[in-house]
Amino acid sequence: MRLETMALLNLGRRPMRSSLTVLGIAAAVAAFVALVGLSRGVELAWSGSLQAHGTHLLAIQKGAVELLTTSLDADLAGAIARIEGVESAAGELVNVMVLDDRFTAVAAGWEADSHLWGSLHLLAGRLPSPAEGRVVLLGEAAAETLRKGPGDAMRIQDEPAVVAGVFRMSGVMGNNSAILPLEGMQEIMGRPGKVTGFHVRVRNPESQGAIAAVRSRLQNAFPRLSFHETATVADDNQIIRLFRAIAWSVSAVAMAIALVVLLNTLLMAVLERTREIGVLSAMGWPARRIVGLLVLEGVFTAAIGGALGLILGAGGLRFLARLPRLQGFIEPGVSGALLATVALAAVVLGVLGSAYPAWRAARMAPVEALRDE
Amino acid sequence: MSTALLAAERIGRNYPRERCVALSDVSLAIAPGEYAAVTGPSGSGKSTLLHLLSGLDRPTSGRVLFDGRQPAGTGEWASIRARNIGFVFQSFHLLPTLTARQNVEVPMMGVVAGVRDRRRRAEELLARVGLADRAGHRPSQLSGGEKQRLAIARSLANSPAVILADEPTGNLDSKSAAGVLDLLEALRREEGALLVIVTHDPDIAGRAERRISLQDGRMVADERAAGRG
Repeated sequence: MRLETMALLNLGRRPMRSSLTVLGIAAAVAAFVALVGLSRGVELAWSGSLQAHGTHLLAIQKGAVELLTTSLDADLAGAIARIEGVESAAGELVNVMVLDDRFTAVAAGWEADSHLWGSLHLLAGRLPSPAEGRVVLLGEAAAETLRKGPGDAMRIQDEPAVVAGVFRMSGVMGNNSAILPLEGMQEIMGRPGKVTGFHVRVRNPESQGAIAAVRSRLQNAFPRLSFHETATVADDNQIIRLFRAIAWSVSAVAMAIALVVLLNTLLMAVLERTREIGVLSAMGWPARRIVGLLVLEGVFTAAIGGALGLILGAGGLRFLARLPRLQGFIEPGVSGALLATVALAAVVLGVLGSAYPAWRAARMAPVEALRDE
Repeated sequence: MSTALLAAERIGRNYPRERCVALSDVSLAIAPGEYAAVTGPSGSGKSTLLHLLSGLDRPTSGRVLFDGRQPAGTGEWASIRARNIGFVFQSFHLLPTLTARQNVEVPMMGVVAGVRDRRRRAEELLARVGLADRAGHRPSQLSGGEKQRLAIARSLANSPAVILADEPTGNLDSKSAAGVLDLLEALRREEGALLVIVTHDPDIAGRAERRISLQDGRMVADERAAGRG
């Protein structure tokens, strides 16, 4: 028999209590995985959608906290495109809109000559012609949910439109979105001549420092705009930061509760097993092995709870990502970093939760412990 | 007399808070392989003496020597108990979640390195105490006599030079008690171990080579019965 076997057998002694503790830890870890995964999923969905458009830099109004309500002159695109190193710049008017009264999606308006149209892989129908205003292209997933195809009529924010085509893009946000000609989008939103931001493509983006150099030139030329690299755009966003902070805070509270639950369980176990600890001491077990046994019990409980929580959290995240209100805003999936964080958190939780009970056990006077009835 | 393996030099143990003197000014020396019984009425300090001789408790005066020297502290005493002292308790003190075989393995953890070696040794000891077919049973599935035989097997796990038994038959019927005592004495002879048995039963004490009597925490007699044990 190994020490680990003994620790597991001890956990099996009070199956109900051990199971409830495992469930408590699982709930905390699941909350952690779902909330942090959700926040990360939104970031990934956004940056993934920008990457799918071949965007290197995103220009937005400087100091804007909420991007969807900002207003920039669409004409600025030409001036941005003239800056050295810029290949093209495309204005975009974007908003979250209700399609057919039941599906919430990101809707974007693009200029007729925008390079962004080139990032769509058309599955059915056609791209809109320059003169058309109230036509819409639906992402594959959005079209499937709405059961719409080319030629079908639909409503965007209660305004009539016709589906021109269906496209596929990499990334969940793109596939759940709707694209309109810029004029049509401006009309629906009542913001003629305005966009919310510009997608900038850089010439020779692979060469070292090219994107950073262009960014710096753009920043100097347009002090009222701020330019963000695709990979860090979500990271720079205040709302996403706030969301992330909330996710981590709620998770931390959940973890603290799990810690107290584990602490309570192990402390009860130590008090119940006072005499046994005395017996181990009588048999010559050094304090460090008694501590080791209890810490193993804590780590096993936390590890089982952590694994269960991971499964529940990842399942919960998938469920959330499929809700009609959230579909397209979250890239579901548990990253390796999140997995490593959960594993580390479980071990730390196990060690912290068992440290005090183990210390209590180790400093018990063996004779007192043996006398305990 | 050969050099003492276990010795007490004027040891005393009092509990200031309870204003109680459990043991006072006891000196004795027990040689390797010796069989001694500690007798006396309840509260006379028998168990306290056993706890002090094994380092489970510290004397408030005097000193305890193991193999001629005074162990330095808790850690050294733990190591001495692990390798050299086997315990048998009145209420068995078996670990309820473990099987009989696993219970015998517990003292070997940290002493016998190999998992298989521990297992083999445990099976061998269970066979010696007549519990070979009970190896997979938990203590709750064993009778009182079987539990104590299991506890004896456990006490022998690391072939200790000293076996300390605190009222080992106190919770057994007379038939089981006789069997347990016979076994304990036979194994002691085979292993050549020093056996100290605490009992208030004069018949049991009469089986030992040496009888140490305590009363109110003081040693009142230390007699040897020639040709016994």
